[in-house]
Amino acid sequence: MTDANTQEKHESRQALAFGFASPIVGLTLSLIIGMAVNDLFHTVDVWMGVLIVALIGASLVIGAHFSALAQLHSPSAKGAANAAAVLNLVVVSIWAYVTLAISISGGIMAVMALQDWGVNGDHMQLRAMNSDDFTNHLLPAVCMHLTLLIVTYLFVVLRSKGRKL
Amino acid sequence: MSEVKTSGGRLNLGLVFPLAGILLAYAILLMSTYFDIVVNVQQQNALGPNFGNAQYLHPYTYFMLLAVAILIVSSLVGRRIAGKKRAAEPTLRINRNVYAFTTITMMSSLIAAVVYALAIFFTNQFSPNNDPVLRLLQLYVPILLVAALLVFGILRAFVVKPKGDSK
Repeated sequence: MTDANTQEKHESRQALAFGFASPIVGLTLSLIIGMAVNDLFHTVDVWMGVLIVALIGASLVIGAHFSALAQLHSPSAKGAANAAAVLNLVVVSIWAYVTLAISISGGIMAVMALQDWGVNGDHMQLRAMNSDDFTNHLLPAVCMHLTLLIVTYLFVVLRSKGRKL
Repeated sequence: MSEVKTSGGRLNLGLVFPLAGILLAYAILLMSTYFDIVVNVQQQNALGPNFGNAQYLHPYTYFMLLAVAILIVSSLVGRRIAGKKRAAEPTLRINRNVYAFTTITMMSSLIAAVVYALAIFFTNQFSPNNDPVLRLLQLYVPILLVAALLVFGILRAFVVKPKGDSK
């Protein structure tokens, strides 16, 4: 019985540690990757932006999962486990609105790039979408939007394993 | 322990409906941008040098209204489903969290509707336009429709509750 309690406390502490660390590690890792790519290649490709968004989203989903596990084992409603859950909730809220704004503006800019103003810039034309328009402008925006929706779904579901009501 | 019960492997429709609404609204937003460019090019080809001062009905006016309507309706449907599940099993944390999420999407959709109404007003109210039918279609009808949508959304979401939903 004592061993089981000790094991449960250890698992609870571990879950709490992951719940706190996951969003912070995710944000830091994505920042470092972005900075390193910029320093090495002097440009940050749009797909690198998609990767960064996905990385942060994945870290938040993991954080939600472990903070919910920590809340499950926590003896009280307030405390460190609740703080970890709130941290993940706040970060995912900010991330979600930023990703939504980027995906909407990216998508609109991808479509508006089809508007061609001619040689003299006085005559508007509509050109066909080529592979560069699709793969480097529209598809990254759509992928960011889909990442947002998937992470939101998983976040809400996984954080619901927490304290009983 | 009842609180660890998961969704049983099926998708949670209370979450799926608002998220699907957001995806559909996004697709409509991109389509409206594209069709607006198509109409602009057609009008330019038709009007030639008079294009700069021309006033015509832009497709985005009603496409955006459709997107806002889809956001509101999908959030309402998700909220109804989440409300019924919460009423059936109130001790499950997921039911409460999904209901709270649908409340957030509902309020965001209503805010988007208000922003749309303001954008339509400021874009069209002060533009020079002598055609009363065009002014009706560009300004009055969209504002009336979005106001009706707002009232419908607020009443269905926060006033007319399904049976068993006490909050």
